[in-house]
Amino acid sequence: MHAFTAQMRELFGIERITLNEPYLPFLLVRAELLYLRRLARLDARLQATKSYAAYEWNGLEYKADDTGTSDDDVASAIRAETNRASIEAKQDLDAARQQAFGVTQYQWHGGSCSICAPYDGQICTWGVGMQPGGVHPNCQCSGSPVADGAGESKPPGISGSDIADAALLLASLIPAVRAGRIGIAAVRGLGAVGRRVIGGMRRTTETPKDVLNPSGKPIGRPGRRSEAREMDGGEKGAKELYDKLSKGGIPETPKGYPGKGTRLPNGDWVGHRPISKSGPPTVDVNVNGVPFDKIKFP
Amino acid sequence: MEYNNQTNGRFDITKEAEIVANIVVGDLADSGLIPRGQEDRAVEIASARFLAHRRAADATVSDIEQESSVTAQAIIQSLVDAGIINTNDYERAFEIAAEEILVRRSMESLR
Repeated sequence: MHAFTAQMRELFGIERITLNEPYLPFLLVRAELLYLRRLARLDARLQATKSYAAYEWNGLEYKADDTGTSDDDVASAIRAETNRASIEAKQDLDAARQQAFGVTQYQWHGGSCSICAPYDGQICTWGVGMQPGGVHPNCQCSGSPVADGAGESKPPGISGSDIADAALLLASLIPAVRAGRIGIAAVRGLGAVGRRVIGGMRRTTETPKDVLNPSGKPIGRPGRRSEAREMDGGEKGAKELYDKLSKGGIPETPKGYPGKGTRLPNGDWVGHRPISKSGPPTVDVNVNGVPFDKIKFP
Repeated sequence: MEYNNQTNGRFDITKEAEIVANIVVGDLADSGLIPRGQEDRAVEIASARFLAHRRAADATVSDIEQESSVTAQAIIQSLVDAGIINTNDYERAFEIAAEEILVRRSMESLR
């Protein structure tokens, strides 16, 4: 907790925000990703300014003299980019906070220049109109969440373990980002849809093999032959198992199959025979690593 | 489950016959149509009949539903002839066998 708070303070100055423990893994990983992004932007700017004469900002080209802050073009560019990246990182964190805590508005801070002065103190909405930090080169404005939920422990409606799962997913991407194998933008996209990722996490962590062969032990009880299993529940049980196994798959019923089937994303296949002439409803499975091919529901 | 009906990477009809015979006999036994203790003998008979039938039918039957039906008839008739299945149970046994063979064949086509 202390390390997290210190990192938040150092990176984004959010020590005033009270965080519930379940949110910590998610926000910690997100902070790490944002920090990487900041470094990536700074690195990109350093590369771009090796032969610095002018630089692009919001689609327009500026010369160093336009901003009038320094004769040292490189230093100016680095400072501008660092400021911007830092502010944007904080805004990203605020956006994450907005998702997690339901905050939709922010207060504009800054306005030390004549361009931004009119915005200072204004209550604005994230993602709508001009955003602080991006108005002009060297813009040092920022925004802080206001009112509805900022600093409060409004539950996001997901469990701590869900968030921990999402955190692990995001954390697993960090080495790939550092190695340059995937772009930070892709990871950032994941973070931006964090809640949706979390929402789907439960569905994606349990594979068909896990369902059929949990801990290496086949579900149900043995049938007459070793490749068949039996479970209670009748048609309702069969349908529930089929629905669970077929999530995320594409309908694919082979010619002649007396039911419906689904091809799963990893190439496995499952089928459901609501009425089987051989007796009870049956779920047929062709799942790699599963030592049986059907489950009957007498 | 892996459909291990191959030998050295090639389709092995003898293995396929054993698999199908086990499937059919298992379901017939589950349905009470094959008495306990007769399963192994039934598998032997069904496997041999399947093998003979498939070898004879390979060149002439292309529709898997028709093929499954004809194969089931052959297998069940052989089990009736051997006294393992009661004649009165022929129709039900045939339906079970035909469906299971059809499922097996249709799932084969997925691979």
